[in-house]
This record gives sequence, C-alpha cells and structure tokens, in this order.
Amino acid sequence: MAGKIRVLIAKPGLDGHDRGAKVVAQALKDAGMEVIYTGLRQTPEQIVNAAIQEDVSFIGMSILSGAHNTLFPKVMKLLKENDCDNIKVFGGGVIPADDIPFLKENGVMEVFGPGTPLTEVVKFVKENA
Amino acid sequence: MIDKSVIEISRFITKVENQDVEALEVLEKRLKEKDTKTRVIGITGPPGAGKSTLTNCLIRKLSKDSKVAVVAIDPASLFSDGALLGDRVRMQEHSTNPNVFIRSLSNRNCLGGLSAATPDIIRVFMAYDYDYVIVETVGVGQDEIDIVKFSDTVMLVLHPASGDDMQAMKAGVMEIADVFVVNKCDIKNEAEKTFNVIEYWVRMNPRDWNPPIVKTSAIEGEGVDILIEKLQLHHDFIIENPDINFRRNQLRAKHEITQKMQLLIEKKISQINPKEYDIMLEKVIKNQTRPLEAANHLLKGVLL
Ligand SMILES: Nc1nc2c(ncn2[C@@H]2O[C@H](COP(=O)(O)OP(=O)(O)O)[C@@H](O)[C@H]2O)c(=O)[nH]1
Ligand SMILES: [Mg+2]
Repeated sequence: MAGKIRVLIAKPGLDGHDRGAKVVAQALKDAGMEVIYTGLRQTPEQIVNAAIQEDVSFIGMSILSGAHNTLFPKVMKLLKENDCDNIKVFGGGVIPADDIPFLKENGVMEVFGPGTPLTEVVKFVKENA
Repeated sequence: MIDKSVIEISRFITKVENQDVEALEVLEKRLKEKDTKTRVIGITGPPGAGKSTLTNCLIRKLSKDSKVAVVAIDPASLFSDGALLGDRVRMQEHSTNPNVFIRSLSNRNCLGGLSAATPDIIRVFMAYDYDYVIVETVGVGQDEIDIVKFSDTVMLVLHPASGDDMQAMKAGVMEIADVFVVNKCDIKNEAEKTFNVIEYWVRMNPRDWNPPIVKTSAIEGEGVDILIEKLQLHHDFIIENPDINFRRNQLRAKHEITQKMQLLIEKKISQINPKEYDIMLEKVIKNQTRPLEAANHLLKGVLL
C-alpha cells in the first residue's frame, strides 16, 4: 500500500508570527499530503527530533528573523550527525537572494522567496518525494 | 546524538501505518514471546477541550521515570486525503526528551476516532518496551468508541461549557469513560455546572467501576497529580478484576481479526491481473457480464 508524503513545517527562531508557515501547511494538505505542524520558536534540535519521530520526507522551515544563515546549517548538521540526511529541507520566509547560494551549499534543497505561488511549493515537494 | 532505536521505531511505524504485511508479521513475532507491561491510556473528547494540552501535562509527570509514547490522531480532509496534524504544538517542550516519543497520525478517513493502523502502532511501542502509550483520538465524531477496545484506561476530557456536547455525545462516549476530566477549571462557574451534570450521569448509570471526575486546568498544570492518582486507581482495579476486562478484550480481538481479514483480502484484490480486470470491466460496461459475476470471477483467480 502506498504511503503518503509526510512533511514537517517548522517555524524556528524568535520572530512571533506563523501565518506564512500555516498557509504553506494548508496548501500541502490540500494537495493530499500529511503535514505535521510544530508551532512557533522551535530550536534546530526540536525540529530534527520531531522530524525523525514523525518519519517525514521533508522539513520546510519559514524564517522571518534573519537568522536563516545559522538556523539552516544547524538543522542540516544535526540531520547528518544522525544519519538522517535523506530528509530533504526547503525554506521560505524573508531570505535575501544573495544568501541562497550559501544555504544551498549547506544542503538546503530549495529556498522560496516571498510571494512564491503556493503551487510552486506543492510542485517542488511532489517532484522530489 | 538521537538514539538509533528512535529512528528504527519511526521507520517501522511508517511501514506499519501503511499496513505492510511483512512489517506486521515481524511485529507479531516480536510480541509473541513477550510479556508487555505497557499501559495504554486513551484520551477522547470534543475538539478544543484540551486533550493535547493535558497530554502534555501527563508526559511532564510520567516521563520523569518512564518511557512515554504519544499517538495523536487528527482527521484527514475528505476532499484531498491530506491532513494537518497539529497536536505536537502543545507538546513541543518534550521534543528533545529521550524518554518521550510523539507520533502524529491522520485518521486516513477511518471512522471511530482512530486510524486503521493505530492499534498496530500502539503495539510497536509495546514491542519496544514503552511504559505508557497515550492515544489522543480525533475528537470530532459522536461515536468515537474504538479507543475503548485498545486502551486499559479511557479518559474523557470535557471543557466547562460541555453541557451541549454531552447531549450530542449520547451515551456511547460517556459509557466508555473510566475517568472523566473537566478541564479549563480556571474558568470557574461553568466548570462546576459541567461537573454536576457528569456526577448526576454517573449516579444514574452505576457500573462495577464508578468513574471518578477530576477537575483540571491543563494550562496551569492544576489537578494533574490527582488525575494520575485516579488513572493508577483504575489500573489497580482492572488488575484485581481481570474478568472486567474480558468483554473489552473480546471486542478488541474481534475488531482485530476482522481488520486483518480485510487487509489480507485487499492485498489479494491488488494482485488481480490488470489485463483480466480490464476484460471484465469492458464486459460489464457492454452489459455482457453482471458486476457480481465479474467480481466472483476475478476473486476466484486470486483467492486460495
Ligand atoms: N483556559 C484554559 N485553556 C486551555 C486549557 N487547556 C487547554 N486550553 C486551551 O484550549 C485550546 C485547545 O487545546 P488543545 O489541547 O489543543 O485541545 P484538543 O483539541 O482537545 O487537543 C488551546 O488554545 C489551549 O491553550 C485550560 O486548562 N484552561
Ligand atoms: Mg489535540
């Protein structure tokens, strides 16, 4: 029996609103996926632990605080340390285009800029599942 | 480093959730020569009553000296089959506690408050020697009573303004409660009213075990010690009265055999040769064969 695509949507860092993350979560759900939402202010350790317990194929992180250059590499490092770098990571929020190459070098699979159509995020997850 | 067994359990659960027959066989084998001490606590009640927040409180206390697993089930969308699983939000403080394993499940459009694979997933945690499995049901339906077949103790969580909910729930859900919880007691007057309604109901429906009613405020952690005490009392009661559990075990076994038969038959159906299926399909469309006749023919090819 075929499994469902499971995605963890996380909101790390200290910034306090998660509207964007919730909209993405809803879109993925409407596309037939099982989306685990973990709430605000997650540390990289919490995110990776949750992703492993939930056996997701993807982690999507929304970051508005500007801390993306530390948070993403930290999550990638923890995944690798635990032999779980089969989990694919993508991101969104407000991330300057200049920072994207650095994040991708660190193993982040895709970074979506503000205003990216939700269909594009859905397409990305489906194609890489 | 996260313990390797966590990764192993997690991947195993995925296979079990997808009802992979080989994984289910491995599970049965592992449990065969095992005397499990795992206690399963079911938590049901209307949406928003505070089931997840209260689960969080229970984890906080129980995980100090025990291994605690949580299985939290949310409804799938009828339209997309997808699901938004948000119960973890209330339990995030335990994400990195090595004694705690939280798994969110979609009900995958199964009725009854659990997903079809939930009982097997509970058993995975038994196989890995968890002390407690807390199961949070979907909490939407009025007839979410499957949980009683798979728990040692069922908690029904109500919020203060539950008078109407209780009308809607009818007897079924009330009858399966071993412990009643009136949560959000920080909202004073209303809570008292709900408490009285339950108390009256309990008096009118006497049983071998008279379910206690506990007032809690999950958000402030109030009443949780008393709740744990009552859960323990019920546990002691079923240990001392094994016959009480007989009916429950019978329901559980029936449910399980039926579900596994369905699973095996579905697997057989999936083995039907697509070409042969297409031939039959064509014939039914053209009115040369009746659907029942076609089904009989196709099944004969794969059964036995
Ligand atoms: N005032 C108050 N609010 C609570 C309490 N327990 C939970 N809540 C709130 O009720 C809402 C629903 O709680 P949740 O645990 O998700 O309910 P569930 O749907 O039954 O799992 C959340 O906003 C909680 O913060 C409580 O004891 N008192
Ligand atoms: Mg909940």
